[in-house]
Parts: sequence; structure tokens; C-alpha cells
Amino acid sequence: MIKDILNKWKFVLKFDTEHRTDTDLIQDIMHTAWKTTPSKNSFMPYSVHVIGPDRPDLKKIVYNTAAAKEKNSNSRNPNEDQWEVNGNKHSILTAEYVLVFCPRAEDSPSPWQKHLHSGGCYMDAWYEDKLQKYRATILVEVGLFAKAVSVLCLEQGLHTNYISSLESDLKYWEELDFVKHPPCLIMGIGKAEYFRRDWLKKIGWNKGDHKPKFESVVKFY
Amino acid sequence: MENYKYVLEYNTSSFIDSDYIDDALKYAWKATPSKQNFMPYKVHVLSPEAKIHKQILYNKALKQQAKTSGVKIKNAKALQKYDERLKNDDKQPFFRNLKTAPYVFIFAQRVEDQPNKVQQDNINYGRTYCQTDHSDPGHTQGKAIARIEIGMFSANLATYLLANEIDVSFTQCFPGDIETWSEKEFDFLDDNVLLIMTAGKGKLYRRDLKSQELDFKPNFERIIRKEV
Repeated sequence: MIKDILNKWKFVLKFDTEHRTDTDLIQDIMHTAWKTTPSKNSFMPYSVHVIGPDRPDLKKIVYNTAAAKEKNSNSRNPNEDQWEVNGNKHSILTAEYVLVFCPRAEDSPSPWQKHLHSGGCYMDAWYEDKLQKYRATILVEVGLFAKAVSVLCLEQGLHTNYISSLESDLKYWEELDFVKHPPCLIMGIGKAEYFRRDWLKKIGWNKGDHKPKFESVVKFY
Repeated sequence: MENYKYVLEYNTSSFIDSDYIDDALKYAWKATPSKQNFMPYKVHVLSPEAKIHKQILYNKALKQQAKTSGVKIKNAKALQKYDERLKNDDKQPFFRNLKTAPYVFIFAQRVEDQPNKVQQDNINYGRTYCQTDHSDPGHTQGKAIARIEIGMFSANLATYLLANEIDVSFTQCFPGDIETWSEKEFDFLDDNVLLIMTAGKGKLYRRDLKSQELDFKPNFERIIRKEV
């Protein structure tokens, strides 16, 4: 049951750095996520950059963008920032695979997209300089894709997490030449060694950190 | 999600038990993770009875489409004329499903004003959370996070519903800014609208009309890049 699978999701604080996943399995997961994720006008206006287990150097660069975000963000709090970089972000360094989701302009539209365009439809997704305006759509679709990857990983006994706290300004990403537009999301994949909720339990905070009540989030009319 | 097909028209005579929709939403709420457990969004659920709301939603989407395509719509009459022209030209928008959908989910941004114990403790210790900001830059940053998480929530909701043969579709063609949602029917909204999703039994699908040979997504290799 999909319900059982999704209920297995837990944020990974540390991945098992010794574990190696069959590369064909990762390829298959990514392919199925690509196949099953819907997209407005079939644009899929994003690219997913997959950093494998042999590139800790690239993962370190990705981690640095997340760490920078936290420092920059906390500087807005009038209280003195006493925090080390959030431990959640260290999971980027231990994940076997790290996915970086970036906006993508369509340079090879489908016949249907061309047909829409010739009929007067305007499409931000075609233009590099309009992707920022189109980001609202991109972010939702990245969420849909990332969720599909998670479900497929959980089915195979793999674990995932998400880091959306990252500096998206390109100056932080200069060392990664595949990043052409401000990234949207970082995702880690691997075999979990330690979950966040285990750590919370250990420090006695497991009951204090809950999501908002169902009624606060879902409203019926 | 393999059963997903974009719906153009829903079957308005097909009954869906509201308890079932409730279960699906509870499941999605439970199964969807959220950055620091904020869930910075609300899901407003319109029932089959909310027909006027759905017509307004369609009009809003239509107006947005016209605006994006450079067509100026001055008033309701002009909008109706635009709608008729699209119909006559066989160019009816895909989001016409809004008019027939038994259930509509409006996802809107939500600012947390009751941080949980962990969140509050962290705030006191110097951490800043954009999900608690009513003003910028935090509010805009919170919106970006909400969008990704709404994608996840809606994917979970869709998965549950599709597994039980209830179709869903997504619409992103609408004005998001809360200032543009001044109709009394939407006075329950208090922040930006970020996604609209519909659910019901499909009657006519996009793929019934458009060949997948012409209307396809980009190749796998163009989306997934191995940087190993």
C-alpha cells in the first residue's frame, strides 16, 4: 500500500556512508519519477542534477550554499545567533546521492507547445530570461517530482530528505558549472544511519516538534 | 501517479463520498513532510455544492490566460466574448475542468502564528524562520518553500485519490496575489493563492483529444543530468 510506504518517511540526519546502491536502481527510480510526474503544458521546466557517491567535492559545494543561507537568514534575528550550522544540512555531506533541482528553459518545444505558441499562447518556460517569473510554477512541479522520487526510494528501502534552505543566488554556485539558474531544492538519497526524530527523542524534544494540526492546514467549505 | 491523466471535464453525476475526500486529505497531511514542521500553507476545500465559486475560479483563470497572451479584458462582457471565441475556434482552455469538478482544492500560503515548542525555543535562541514572517523578505521566502511543499502535499493527495480511481488535475493559470481575490465568495482567503487542484471522476481527458505523439514531455536525458 502506498499509504504504508509514505508513512515510512523520516528526515535523515545522517546517511550510512558505507552503503552503495546499485546505480541501475537509481537510474530506474529517476526514470520512473520522470515518467509519472505531470507538468503544466508538459514543459518540465527544471533539471535534476544527480551527484553520485564519488563526488564529495561537489556535495561540499552544495552544503556550503545551505550553510550560507542559514547564517544570512539568522542575521535578521535581533537575538545573537548562537547556532552552529543546522545538523540537518550535514546530511548533504553523508548522502550517497545528492539531487540539485534547477530551473530549465525549453529550447526544443514539442509540436503541441509550438502549436499553442503559434496560436498566440505566451510561454515563459521558453525563455531563459523569463524563468524567474515562471519560478512559481517550477517550485510546485519540483515538489511533485521530488515526492515521486521519495516514494520510489522508500519502496526500495532507501531513504531521502529535502533541504530547501539554500542560497539560490548564483554567486554561491559559481563552482558548479551545471547550475545556470538559481536552484530550487536539494535532496539527499541513501541508506539512513540516523533519523532526526531519533535525535529529538534523545534530547527529549520528540513531543515538542510536531506539524500544525490537520484543521489548521485543511479547511472545508 | 501512473494513472494520472489530465481531466478536461468531470462527470457531474458521479457521487463521491465526502468522507473519502476527508480521508485522502488526512492521509496527505500526515504523510507530507515539511521544513521545520511549519506546513506554511492551507488547503481550502470546495465541495460539490460550491458551484458559484467554481465558475468564478474559471473566470479568473480565463482572465489570467488572456492577460498572459496579451488579450485585454476590460469587463465581464469582454471575458464572455473571449470565452465564446475560444469555444468557436475549438481552443477551449484545459482548465475548464474547474467548472465541472466536484471537489476543488485551493492551496494558499499560511504564516505560522503559533510556533510549536521546538520552533519557539529556537527563535528565542536566535534562529529566524521565514514561515513566521508576514513581511518581506521572509514572506516571499516562505512562499517559495510553501510552493515546493504544496507540490509534495498535492502529489500525496493525488496518489491516494488515483489509487482509488478518482481523477485529479492541477491548474496554475490564475492570479496568485491575495489582492486579486476580493470577491466575497473567497473571503476565507487571507494570503496568496499558490495552486489549484481538482478531483472527481473524469469524463473527458486531454489525451482523448491530443495525441501523445504531439504532446509529450521532454526526454529523460534533458531533465535528469548525471554529474558523477
